[in-house]
Amino acid sequence: MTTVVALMFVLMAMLTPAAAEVRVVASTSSMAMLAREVGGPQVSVTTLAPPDRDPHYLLARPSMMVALRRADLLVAVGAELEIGWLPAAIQGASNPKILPGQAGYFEGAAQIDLIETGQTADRSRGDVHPMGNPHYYLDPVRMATVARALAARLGALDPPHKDAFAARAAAFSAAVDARADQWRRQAAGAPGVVFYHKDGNYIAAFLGVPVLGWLEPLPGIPPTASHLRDLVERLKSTKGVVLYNSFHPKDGPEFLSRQLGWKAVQLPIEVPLDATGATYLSHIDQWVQAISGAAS
Amino acid sequence: MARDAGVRVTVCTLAWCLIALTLVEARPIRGRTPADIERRRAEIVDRLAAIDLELSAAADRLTGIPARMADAEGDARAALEKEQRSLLARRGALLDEQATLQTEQAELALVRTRTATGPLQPTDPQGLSPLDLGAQTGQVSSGQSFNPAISVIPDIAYYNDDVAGEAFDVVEEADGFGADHHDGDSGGHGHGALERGFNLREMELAFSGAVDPYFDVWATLAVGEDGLEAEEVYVQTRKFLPGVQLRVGRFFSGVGHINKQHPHQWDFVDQALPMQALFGGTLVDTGLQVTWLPSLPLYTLFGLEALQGDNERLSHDASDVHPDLFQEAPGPRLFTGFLKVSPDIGFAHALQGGVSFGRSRRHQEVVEGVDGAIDESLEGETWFLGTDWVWRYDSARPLGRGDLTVQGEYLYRKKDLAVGPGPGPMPPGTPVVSAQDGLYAQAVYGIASRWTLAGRVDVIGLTNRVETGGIVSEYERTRRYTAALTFNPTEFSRVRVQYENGRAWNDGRSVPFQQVFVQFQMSLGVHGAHRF
Repeated sequence: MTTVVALMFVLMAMLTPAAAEVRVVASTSSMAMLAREVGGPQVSVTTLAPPDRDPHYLLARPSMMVALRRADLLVAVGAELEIGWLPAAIQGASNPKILPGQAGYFEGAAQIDLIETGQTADRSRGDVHPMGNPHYYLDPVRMATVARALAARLGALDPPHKDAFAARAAAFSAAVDARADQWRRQAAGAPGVVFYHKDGNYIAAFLGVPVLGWLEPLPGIPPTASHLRDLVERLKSTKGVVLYNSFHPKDGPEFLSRQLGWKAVQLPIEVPLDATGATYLSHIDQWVQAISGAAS
Repeated sequence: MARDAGVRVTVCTLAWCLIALTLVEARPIRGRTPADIERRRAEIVDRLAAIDLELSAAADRLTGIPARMADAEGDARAALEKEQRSLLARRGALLDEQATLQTEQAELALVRTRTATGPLQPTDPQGLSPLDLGAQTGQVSSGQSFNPAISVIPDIAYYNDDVAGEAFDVVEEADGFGADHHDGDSGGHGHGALERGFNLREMELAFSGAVDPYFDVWATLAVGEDGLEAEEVYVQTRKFLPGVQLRVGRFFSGVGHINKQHPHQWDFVDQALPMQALFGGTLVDTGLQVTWLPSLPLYTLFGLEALQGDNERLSHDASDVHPDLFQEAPGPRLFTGFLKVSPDIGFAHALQGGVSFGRSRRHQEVVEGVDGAIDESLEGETWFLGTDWVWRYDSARPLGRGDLTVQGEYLYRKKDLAVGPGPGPMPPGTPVVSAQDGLYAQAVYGIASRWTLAGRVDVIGLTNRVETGGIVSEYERTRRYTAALTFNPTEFSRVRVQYENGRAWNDGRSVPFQQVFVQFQMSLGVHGAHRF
């Protein structure tokens, strides 16, 4: 019996990483990008949701629990975006460090002001988020704010590298600020955009481009024929662009594109798994280009 | 006698208390209604203000008199002296009145009237006014904000079969398995038999939330035909030790894969046959569970449970129903253990395998004859062994299209019993040993966004042997094939059509049956996310 216990301890000691880096688990690849950009070599980052999956509907896989069990810090999007799976994964991980309210829990939504807050908590209005729209990860300015807050948190978890975290977050903020005006100029005069879901609202607000509609009749409900007809009726003889994500079905956007003579562009909403700050900036470039594409 | 004296003393004490109370209440009021008191208070305030004015005017005049007297002569001086005397007398009277009024005001301040909420109106109930406390009496409160997450899950089913509504009994009494008996409630949670036609199968009420930094509570109540039943009610630790969770209460055992799922998580309307036949539905019991998730790169979960043993098909104390046949078997009677392992095979796939074991150190059951009379009483030990496998594929296409889940479980149960005292023909001590098993395999495929098609094969009795005093009886297998088409408008609602085709053996006779279900399942409110 003692041998078994001793063996177990040896095994656990072997498997515990010797490096003093902060083990960060990010819920989505955008949050992983922030952790990597701010944490630099002082953190190791694991991502739970792959970029090509809809973060609303995931399954709490056992490997998520493995990652969370060993994590020092969980970086989540928050505002109930991951409510279908992250609470179950946290519960299954039984890691007291990363419970909400602890130093190991960081939710980006809690660091910024959200748009579309205070909607009625009524599910007959679709998959609503009464606490606000959680898809702020396409808003570079808000992401820079989250980066600075994350630097402060990482600094609290790893005080010797506090200044390095702060410096990297400041550099990311500066890079965003440097591009912000150029992005806005580029999109100036863009007639408008139709998104599939309300996940594009932040970037439209950031660029000052009007959102002309959504393909979903209600958040989370796939496009219906009557809703598409209404959109066509309302938007015909106007200009704009249709934008949808890699995990959205093509049929609706293509129908609208054909009927209105607009361009329909499919873009990933999440950055790739190994993204850094530079990847994120060119990701935003892509979106800005697509949104302003209709102007040319 | 002593009791009478006691009563008398009590009555006298009560009477005295009443009288004393009346006196205390009556004293400051002295026959006046609160309205009178309010009025008197206002009068006093007004009068005191008037006295103040008069006193200050008198004081001014008195201050001026000495200077005027110095210039005055004869009659004028006498008039001034007279005025001074009368002013001083008036001042004395005013001061006396002021003192009296102030005393009365202080007395009245102790009387309960409605001054805290404004002047008393003639229609206000008298004598019910709160004491003036001089500041806001409201409470800074979060009101109902500490409510737990609450959800209501109605489960409505239309049902029909081609064996006169007996399909559930046909399976329940399958040869070899029907030897179990049903005194009182079914031990397991049999979300079983439906009537032909419409059924409100159950309505689940689920509450969950954190009690404090240390504990979470989950309570799932099922409102069914038998009234309100605690399906699961347990306390779970939040941060006991890293990786370790303790659970105390009544809960679905962690053995196997499907056993810990509530009916609203099932991919079919009904429970898999092996659980139905060997656990009588779902293994749910009261006790303690410890799980440990070591910090390993491979998902490895160890679990141990000590359960009271309240399952008729596995671990049961029948002494309360048949005190003449059995002695009480104190709990916990049932002990289980399980291990789950899941390798990380990427974002698109998830695989989990598990083994489970359970042993009941005491199990009591009775065998009833055809007429319902008790034939034999049996008592002994039971154990079971199971394995469960799940593979899930997430296709990354919208709303579940192309997703595939394949799962299967095998369960083997052995009962090592012996005949006890009873009216039956077998001599006490005769061994009755039964060995039975069952398995199911199922697949669920997302044929379109929001639509799934599921198929399931159930077999029980691959091993189906009962050995009574050295004589072996072998029984046939029962099979069931199920297909289900499910539409999930959102993740909160579900409509399902299910068809089953099976063949059970009853008393050596083959009974084929078909079943049809239409199910409506809704999840209203805030319901926690489900684990894998």
